[in-house]
Amino acid sequence: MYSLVLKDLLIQKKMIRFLLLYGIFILIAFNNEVFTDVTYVMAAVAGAYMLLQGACAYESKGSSEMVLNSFPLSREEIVRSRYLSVFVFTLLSLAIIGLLGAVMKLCGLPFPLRYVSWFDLAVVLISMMIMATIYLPLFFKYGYIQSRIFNVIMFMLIFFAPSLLIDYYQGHSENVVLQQLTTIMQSSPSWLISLAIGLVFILIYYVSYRFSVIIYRHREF
Amino acid sequence: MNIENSTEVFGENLLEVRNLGKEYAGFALQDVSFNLKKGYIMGFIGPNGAGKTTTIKLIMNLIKKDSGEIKVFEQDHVRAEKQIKERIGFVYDEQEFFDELKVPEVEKIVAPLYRNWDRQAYARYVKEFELPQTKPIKEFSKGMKMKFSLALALAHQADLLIMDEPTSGLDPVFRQEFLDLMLSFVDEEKGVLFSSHITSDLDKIADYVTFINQGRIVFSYSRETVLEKYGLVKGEKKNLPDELRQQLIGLREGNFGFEALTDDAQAVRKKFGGEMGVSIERPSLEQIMLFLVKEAKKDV
Repeated sequence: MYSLVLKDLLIQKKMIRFLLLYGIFILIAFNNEVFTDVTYVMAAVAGAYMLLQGACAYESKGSSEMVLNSFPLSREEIVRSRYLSVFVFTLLSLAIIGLLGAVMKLCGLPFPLRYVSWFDLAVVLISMMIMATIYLPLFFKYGYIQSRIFNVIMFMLIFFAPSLLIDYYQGHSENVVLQQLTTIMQSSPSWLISLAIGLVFILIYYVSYRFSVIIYRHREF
Repeated sequence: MNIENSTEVFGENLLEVRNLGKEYAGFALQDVSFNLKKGYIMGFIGPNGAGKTTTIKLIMNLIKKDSGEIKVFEQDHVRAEKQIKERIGFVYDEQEFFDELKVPEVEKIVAPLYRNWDRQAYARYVKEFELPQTKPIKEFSKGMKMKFSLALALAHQADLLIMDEPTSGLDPVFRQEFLDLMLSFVDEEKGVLFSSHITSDLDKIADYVTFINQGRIVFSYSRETVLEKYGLVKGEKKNLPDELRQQLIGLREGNFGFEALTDDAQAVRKKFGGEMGVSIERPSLEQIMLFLVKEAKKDV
């Protein structure tokens, strides 16, 4: 199973080289006070998402899925490896962008304005988990080509979801559950809230994985 | 259905397919049965769209069967899927899965998947087949890709090779080389299922021939039986009595002569050969396939 994660990386040497150039570009282009909080997150999520798309596209070429399924691997292991790859892509993408930023800063360049932080790591991980949670079941059901429509939905989500969530929260400020949730969050230590949020996203990710396993078991090639 | 090589007669099977069925819109695989015994090469022939690839996909559990039973190494192909695939070398005509990888990188990925991976054997075959180590697989020629695929199968010590159209698109020199490799692969414990529409390849190496047409098995015989049983009947049109006409398969009539197949060469030879001006020749597999397909189209 780890072989498949390794395969996901080895087939994308060109993409990883591209990420180095892309990282430098992003760190220079978004070098201002407005974007400084999100530069690393934005760049790393986009990089990880490109790696995920690259791996999925590669597997959809010609007879690739038939060859993959002729190995002594269960379909569950194939799905699991892709869900694990998401973490590897995320860490690799953030490491590349973070290291580029650190090198540029240590060289005395005026950009980026800060080093990568643990908070960036948490946000990038959660963002990728959310995207993969929705994307991977669609990929395992319909394959790469048909699930590309998801990219459009994804960008709409990125643009509209935060403001929709805030509007919902403001419009339902009388809601008892929301009020209780707000009270709990205000009275709890931040590490506990972070842990709870992390666990919720891991649980959602796991449910998505189980769902993908069921879908992929029924897939025909 | 005409199946000759049953388990009862010949002993242990590498592959047993029984009453297999799969239905699609516009195509159905129906009641497909055949056996492949240890130590033999089986050619799986039929025209395009006859059901060869569907059958192979069903054996590999790439698609789900609607009915029937498949046993590989005497185990159910779904229940023991992983154990079975440890011992199968699946040689497919395209290898996009490895496109971006080089030969040593492939080993890093594939070796941990197989318990019986033999590093030395892989290195030996890579050298013997003269596979480039520094080029990605996508830059290999078609012949090289097939040899590479075979090197993978041999390195994990497969006992059964399942190959879907492995020789299509290969030049004659590479094809012959590939067929020789097949022959050297088979020992008393191993076997090959080899789908092809290039029947001349099977004339050279197949011990058994299974012919599928329109989703049904027409016959599954040893090559000798096929060539003995079927006969190519030729003669002048004036020497074609109705009694003979009724026994012929895929009859082709010209202005003066006729040509057809019979599935009882001996009887036709006895009754109509010699003095009756009818000749019965030994057909090639290609001729058998062509006449049977022609007859089947007539029946539709």
